[in-house]
Amino acid sequence: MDISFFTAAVVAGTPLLFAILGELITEKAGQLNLGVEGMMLMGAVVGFKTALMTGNPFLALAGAMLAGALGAMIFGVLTVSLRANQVVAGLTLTIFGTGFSSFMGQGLMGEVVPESMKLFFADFKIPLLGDIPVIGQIFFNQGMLVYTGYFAAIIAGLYIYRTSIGLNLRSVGENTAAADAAGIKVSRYKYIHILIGGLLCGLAGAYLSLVYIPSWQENVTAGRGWIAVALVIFCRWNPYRVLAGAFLFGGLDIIGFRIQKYDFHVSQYMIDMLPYLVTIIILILVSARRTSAGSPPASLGESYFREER
Amino acid sequence: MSVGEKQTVEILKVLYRGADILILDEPTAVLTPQETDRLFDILLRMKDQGCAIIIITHKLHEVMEISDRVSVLRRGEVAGTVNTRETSPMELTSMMVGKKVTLSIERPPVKSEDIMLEVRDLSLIDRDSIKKLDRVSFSVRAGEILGVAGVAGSGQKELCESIQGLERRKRGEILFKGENISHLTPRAIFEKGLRISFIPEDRLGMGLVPTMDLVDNVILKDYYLQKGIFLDREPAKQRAEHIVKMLNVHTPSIYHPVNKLSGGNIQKVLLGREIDSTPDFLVTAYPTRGLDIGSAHLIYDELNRQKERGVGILYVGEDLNILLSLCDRIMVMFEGKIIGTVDASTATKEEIGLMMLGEVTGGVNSND
Amino acid sequence: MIKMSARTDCSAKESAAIRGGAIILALVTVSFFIMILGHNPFSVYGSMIEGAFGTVYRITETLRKSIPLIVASLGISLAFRLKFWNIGAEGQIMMGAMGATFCALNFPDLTSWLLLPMMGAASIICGGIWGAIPAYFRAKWRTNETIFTLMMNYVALKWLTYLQYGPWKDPAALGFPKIPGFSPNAVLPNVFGLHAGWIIAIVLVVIVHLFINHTQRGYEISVVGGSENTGRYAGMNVKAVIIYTIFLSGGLCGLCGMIEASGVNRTLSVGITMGAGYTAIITSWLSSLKAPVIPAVCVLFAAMIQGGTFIQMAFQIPQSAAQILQGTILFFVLGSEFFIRYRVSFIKNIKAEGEK
Repeated sequence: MDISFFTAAVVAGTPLLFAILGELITEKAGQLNLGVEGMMLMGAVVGFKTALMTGNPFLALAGAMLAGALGAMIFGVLTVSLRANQVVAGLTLTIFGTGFSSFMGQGLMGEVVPESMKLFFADFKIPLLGDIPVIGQIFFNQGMLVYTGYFAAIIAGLYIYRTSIGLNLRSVGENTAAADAAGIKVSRYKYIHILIGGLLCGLAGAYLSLVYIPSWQENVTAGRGWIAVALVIFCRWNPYRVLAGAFLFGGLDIIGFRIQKYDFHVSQYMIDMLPYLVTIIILILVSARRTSAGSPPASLGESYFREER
Repeated sequence: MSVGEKQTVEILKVLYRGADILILDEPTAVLTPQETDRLFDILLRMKDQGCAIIIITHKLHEVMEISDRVSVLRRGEVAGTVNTRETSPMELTSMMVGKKVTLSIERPPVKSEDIMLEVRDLSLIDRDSIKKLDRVSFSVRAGEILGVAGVAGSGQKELCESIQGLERRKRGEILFKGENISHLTPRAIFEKGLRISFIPEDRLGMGLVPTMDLVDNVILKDYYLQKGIFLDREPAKQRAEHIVKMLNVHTPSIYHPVNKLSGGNIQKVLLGREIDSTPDFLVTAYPTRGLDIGSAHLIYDELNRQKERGVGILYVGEDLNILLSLCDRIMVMFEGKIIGTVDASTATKEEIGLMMLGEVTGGVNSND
Repeated sequence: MIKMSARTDCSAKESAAIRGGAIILALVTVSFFIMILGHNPFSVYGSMIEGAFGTVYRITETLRKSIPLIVASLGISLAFRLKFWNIGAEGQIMMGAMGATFCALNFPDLTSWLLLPMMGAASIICGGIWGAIPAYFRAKWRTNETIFTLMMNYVALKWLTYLQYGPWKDPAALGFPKIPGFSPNAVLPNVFGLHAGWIIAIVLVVIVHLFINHTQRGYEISVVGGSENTGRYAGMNVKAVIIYTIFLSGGLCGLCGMIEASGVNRTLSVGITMGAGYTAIITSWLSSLKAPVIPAVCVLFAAMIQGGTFIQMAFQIPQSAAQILQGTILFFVLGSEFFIRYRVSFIKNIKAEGEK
């Protein structure tokens, strides 16, 4: 394997990075949103369409993020205000998002992102850092959105662990009733972080359709949203670990494509199974290890209704 | 941190934020009598500094001890507000229940010398490798109520579940009528004709299926004895009706989901089912938690009736006054160990309280 | 200020009315969407109904599309009763279809009376095992079954792709990647103009209903689904209940795959499911997991799919509009459950109650 493999792994891991962070922040507020795949698809199609119509990368990204947030808003109204079952609401969001993206994407098949925009997202070297051998080539010769991803993970970590708002957020996810009793506005916290999650998932989708592919394909996510949900567990709800988890899986994602030149006698389709199989194995291993360190927020997935404690 | 210390931290946190009004919801449930005294000291001092304090509790003696005024709530309405100095536990009770009740708990003598259940060197280590039970040994005679005291989480739950056959990781012997049942599953115990009934502390989490109706909950333990693959609910229907009549359960019908009933009625359904199977031994954990005083006394009376039938009873409780007046002997647990066992007719609350903190004051059977 | 309190007095009639109202609200919401696209919602809905039920042929088509939904919904409802979020129906259908196809390709000359039951059994076993794998780990280590079953969908999809492009590729198709067609012996016979899958579906509805409500095993599923600890307390082998229930759940989905492969496609392809595994999640939830309600909901959804293809031709509205409509309906019904469980009343605003 040469260095270009690792560089490509970072690129392939970036959409996962945004999606995992989004789901992680949502889960910190105690909400389990299984609609990541749906929100990513909504973001992907809206971002792509806006890019074709306006040619403006900022508008395209903003559109994608708003689309993700729209999906998250539906989830929020259903699960926070109306206390619907979070698993079913998330699944429905995925089904809805899939329909939404193939509906909006009708006729986009084969369209390509404008050249000017490709230029905008193109790789550039960060001075000094980019000159470090190996590491510089892998991490600091990338596009703008990859750098945004690094920042997002670090900011999320600082936000969750080093600010008082982050402390409140964690207490909402760990013990909603106690947070409520301490005067924290529980519903507002849940809504805001569900929406932040949606924004990030929308961005993840846009990265796929605008930068990674960059042309329109139906179902561009190919299960990446679900892998992101699994990787939140793998990363033990810690934003810093997300960097490692995302890039590791970015590597798995492209390994099938890379391995072809080495003339392995394994079918392409079998190698394509790898990310999904590894996700399964990780799920099993994480659940088999029975320590309480790195466990999910204690109130995850439970509806909170003050009068029903 | 012990639960008592956590409680103190909680109160400090509130004080630190400069609270003027302090609301405590059953603050003493996890405290020993000594810790309770200390808490009440703090509360009285806060009161002197001009704090308003609201304390919610079901223990009447605490109300009498600490409060200036009492409001009694019944079914979501204020049944009345009185000055503590001008009232009596008797009056408060009748306000709570809505009619006059007697508060005395009888203690019929133990007639038999036969040992019903004997536990020898029972140990249990949980999956975080914490010792939940540490060489526990004791015995219960037929027609005896053995009380178990201790702050919450001292191993009571694990002890109950071990006897019932639910805990699989235990070591040691559990002899029931002389037969070792420590490695049997609940169903295997049942099939040997040994009837151990268990009323767990979390009724809706274990013991009943919340969303099912009375009939389906009544059939829970013996449905599988029916022949064939189908399920006949006819006998269970009659039993459900019998339980409703016997314990005066308030329910619209026997086809009402149990989680839609009130706490007292849920407990009556569970107790009714367990008693209806004519048990030889009864394990109960906090059977009156959350119940109004009228229902609670109904349950004490029913336990005494079972006792006179010759049933051995293990009663895990938290209110020492009740333990002292209902049980024959009281066994005190601390961090999975038995600190000692005292005679309930002679023991004092202070003595038990010290033992709950792990201090050995005598009694039988103590371990390092 | 809005005050909410739990309610227990919601009658069956009232809750049906609330759900019905939610479906109507969903249709209204989508009609705004249709208007934005520049169409008249009444004529679009009208032609959807016409497209689904307008002629005998269209009715047959609608029913044909409802069969896989019914069978898969029955399977999913078993798992959901256990609070096991099996969203792997898609993969279980594929594996079931694969099992059936294996028999069909290897024993093409066997008489139908033997071959079809053999295909059915193979599909149940394959789909069941595909479900039982996640169930085993869930029972043993509480491994998250939602993601596990979903990942199994993708593994199944890649596996079918491998078969279709590799070992099972039809040599007679001149390099075109398709799996050979079934021999007539491996095809479900037509009964009253529709393949016999509809009889299987009806029989399964009755069986599942009896199983859940009137057998000891069905009772165990309800107990464990209501509270695993209570199941342990009652002496049930909770792990075994989980594993065999999900085996049955996956088995039914597998049988759905056999019906589709044998009755409709007469071969196997990666597109065998037509998304039925996902749609069936919606339909079984909308049916409140009640077997007798499932056929009605599934026919309604099949009508939306069938009507969706019709409006594509008539209005050039993409077929995926049907998917959006389905998602919206479920959103509204999910939201409406709140009004079944809680009473909402408005009380005069007290100033101090307002947000800062």
